[in-house]
Amino acid sequence: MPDRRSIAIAVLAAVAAAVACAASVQFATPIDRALPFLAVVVVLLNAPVALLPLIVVENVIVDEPTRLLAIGLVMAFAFSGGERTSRPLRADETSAPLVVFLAVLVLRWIPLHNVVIWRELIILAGAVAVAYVMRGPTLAVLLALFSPAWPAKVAVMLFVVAVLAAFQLRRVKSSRLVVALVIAFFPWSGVMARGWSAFIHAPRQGNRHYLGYALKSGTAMSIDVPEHAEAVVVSGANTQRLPCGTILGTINGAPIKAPDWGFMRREQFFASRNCYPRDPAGRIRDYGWSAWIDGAERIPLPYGTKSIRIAVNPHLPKNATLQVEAFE
Amino acid sequence: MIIAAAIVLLILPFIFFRGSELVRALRNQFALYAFATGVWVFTRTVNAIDFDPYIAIVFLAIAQLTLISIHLATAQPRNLATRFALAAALIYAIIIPTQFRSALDGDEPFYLLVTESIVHDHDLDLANQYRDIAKSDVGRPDLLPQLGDPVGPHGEQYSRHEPFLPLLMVPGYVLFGVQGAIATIALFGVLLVRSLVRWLEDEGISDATIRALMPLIVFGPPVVFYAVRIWPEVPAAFCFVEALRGVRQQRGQRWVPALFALVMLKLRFVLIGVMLVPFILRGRDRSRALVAGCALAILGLPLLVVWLVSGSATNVHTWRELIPVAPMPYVKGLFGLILDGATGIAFQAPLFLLGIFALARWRSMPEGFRVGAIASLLYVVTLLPRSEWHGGWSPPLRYIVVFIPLLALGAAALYEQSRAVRAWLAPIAVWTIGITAHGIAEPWRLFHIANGENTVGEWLSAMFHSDFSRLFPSYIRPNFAAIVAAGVFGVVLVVCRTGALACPDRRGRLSCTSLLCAVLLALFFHFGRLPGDRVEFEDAHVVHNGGELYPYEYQVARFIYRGGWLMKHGDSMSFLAKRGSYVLFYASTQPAVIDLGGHAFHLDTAPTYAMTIVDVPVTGPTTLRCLDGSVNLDRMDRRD
Repeated sequence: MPDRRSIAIAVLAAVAAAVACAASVQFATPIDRALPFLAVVVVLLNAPVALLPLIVVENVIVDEPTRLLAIGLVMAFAFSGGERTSRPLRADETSAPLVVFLAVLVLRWIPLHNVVIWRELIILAGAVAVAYVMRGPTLAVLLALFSPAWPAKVAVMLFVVAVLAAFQLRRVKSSRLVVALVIAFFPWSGVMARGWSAFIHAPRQGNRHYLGYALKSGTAMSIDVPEHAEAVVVSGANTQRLPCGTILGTINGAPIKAPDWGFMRREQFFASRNCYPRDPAGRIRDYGWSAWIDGAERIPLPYGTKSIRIAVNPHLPKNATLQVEAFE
Repeated sequence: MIIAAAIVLLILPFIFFRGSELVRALRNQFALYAFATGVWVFTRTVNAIDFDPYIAIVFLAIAQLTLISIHLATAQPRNLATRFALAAALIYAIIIPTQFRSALDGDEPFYLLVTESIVHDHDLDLANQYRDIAKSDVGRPDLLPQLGDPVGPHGEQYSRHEPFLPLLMVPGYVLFGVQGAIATIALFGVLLVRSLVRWLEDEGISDATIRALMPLIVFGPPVVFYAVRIWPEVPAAFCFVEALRGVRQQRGQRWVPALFALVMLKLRFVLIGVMLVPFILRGRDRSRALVAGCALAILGLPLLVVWLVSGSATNVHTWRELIPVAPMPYVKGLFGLILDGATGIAFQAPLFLLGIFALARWRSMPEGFRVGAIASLLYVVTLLPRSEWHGGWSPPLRYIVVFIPLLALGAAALYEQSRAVRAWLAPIAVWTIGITAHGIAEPWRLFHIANGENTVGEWLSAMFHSDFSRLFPSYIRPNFAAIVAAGVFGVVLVVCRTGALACPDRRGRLSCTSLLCAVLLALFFHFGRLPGDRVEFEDAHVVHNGGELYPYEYQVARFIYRGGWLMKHGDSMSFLAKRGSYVLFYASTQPAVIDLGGHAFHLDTAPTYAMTIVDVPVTGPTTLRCLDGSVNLDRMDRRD
């Protein structure tokens, strides 16, 4: 057990680190604003040397995705071993429950205002229990990443099964690489959890000519195509319960298959039956475990198309709409 | 080159590890590659594109090297000297091509030109080389004789540089051209590494300490940068170690050739040789006269060679340079070599700062350290008051690279003696990794005009349009930070004796050193954004709209000039300044009128620098315009 002096030093160190990082916050994203919290995590992981790149990164990298990725990499370094010259908390030692506790906080509790406390406490407790039983953090961190908070009963069941399975999986060695890799992308942990197809088909956006039409089922409309437009970007609304591949309508007779715009949101994802777009045109929205990619799908237009006629499938549910977002 | 680097990094674990340690090292290496691949894939997903792929690859290679070094600290390989030498050979071999991203610079092309002359003409006359410079392998068609280069009676054009290094590079140059010449220097780097490890072992440094520190010495600045470029410093460092080892072991076979090569490399190294003579003679009774004669002959030989080449035994130097001068230049030079933000040990190779602190524990240091420190005394004392103490147009720490082995021994001894010092290794390693990556990725940045700014300060100043450079101590252009740094250094030197440089808890699990650095870093960024009390007009934080730098960047001996920014009618500049009254330093050959924050000021003619009082009406971005005439604006100091 640590003595009083160690605890006092640790508390003072955590406070000093948090204050130093709070003074360094330069940007308004939840990840940047969580820098003091990340500093405390770094100190608890006994990797205070990671504070230096953390502060530098926050101050010198202006481009948001690059900065957040760099913060993620620094945190991955802290979780993967940190300062080896002293005795670090290592992922494969008895400190696994603490590592998992911190990892879950980093992965799922940023931004804090989006956290539904009681749901997340279930996942936190479950993950720590799995780590305690397995004496390693890898499975627990992966479970914490992928387990849904909605519906809560699924999370409870998942962790009960996981704890039971963990007794059988004790011999499986933990991998610090996996934990580091998961932590590296914590600024978009929600995308990792629910939109891992984005790794294969990264969403992209071209120059857009925005339209913003929402067409109800059975309606149709014609739109002139701007010069140089190569595709039209569409998505569904209130269509998350429709099976994957449902035809939402037609463009000049060609079928439109597109997911619901918000099906990857954490509240909707588990209940949704939609698939990740084949040609994704969405954007990454929000941060941390709340991060998601909108379900915009790019439909290519034949070369030289002057106008398109869009007809919405009349068999769609009453409140479902087809959103014609933009030309690209 | 990427493939070559990957192969070398793959071979390195085989040099250091065996059995399960090897498996672990290889597993870690592949894990890091997998991790990097994952990151690369994700960068596309999140559209994080604001980085240079080349720099990312350099960082990945250095991360792999760091991983191996960390693993090495806990492994138990034997015969470290040969293993580190092999590792150095491989690493230097892959770093050499990275240096070709920029042309040879500083003294390098001149050394190579002499080698070329020896190979092609069998003489040292460079007149024909300069005439046909476009055909030379040097790759510098703009090359001209250096100021003060000796000229022969029949118009022969000699180089001021001693011909011994070019002579050593001849075999390499004949075989592989410029790359071969550089490989010769790298070979000396490898020999230096082997000798250094042997010396550390001779002086009683434990294997654990050598394993922990050597990666930072071998693969870190300044050794790595001088080992892959054409400078005599690394060969000299090797000769210095061998000479010290020979003297300590009283082995003539070792110190005679080492001392000979050392003094032949550069005339200034004779000062080291002179100080070694008493140690050479110590403990000899019978052969003292013979040894003394031999040593003096060795020390006299370079003077003879230089006299034959240039017609003067001291070449471009004079004996007067050995006469002591006023104390202030010594103080500036001493603290500059240690603490200067652009060229000091603390910022360019922080590990070796421990070697300086080791002086505070003189009695507990190894005998070799004390002999080496005394041997270096005359050289250092002669160097300090020189206006070029910082090395001029060269990679940092030029004049003290020769003492790096000595500082390494001091650092190693201190590292063994003090737990507090060990706590500083992590921040030192982070900084060292950064400098190494930077120097390898952008080798042209190793050269920096001595204007009082350093690369980091310039970069941040340009990014934030605020004077970050003022927070780095500068002894080239002394600033307030320099005074603070000197004070802090003095305190640390005293504290070093007590060993209270860190506050680890009883189990050593949490060190405060990184925290202290983090707090200082946060304060650095906070205060860096605020306006300072001095505005140097040529600095990077000033946004220049027109005008030009004075003197121009490549002015010979630029550091002896008082810098400034030349403005003429219509030019303007903006900078962050505090509200208040300032003293403006300027020079002008004709009357000029400037506008500062909406107020016009008339500047009288001032062929030499003059002062005038100006006002800045509000704190914040301020614009200075030249309304009439032309003026060289040096700086602006706040009065209240």
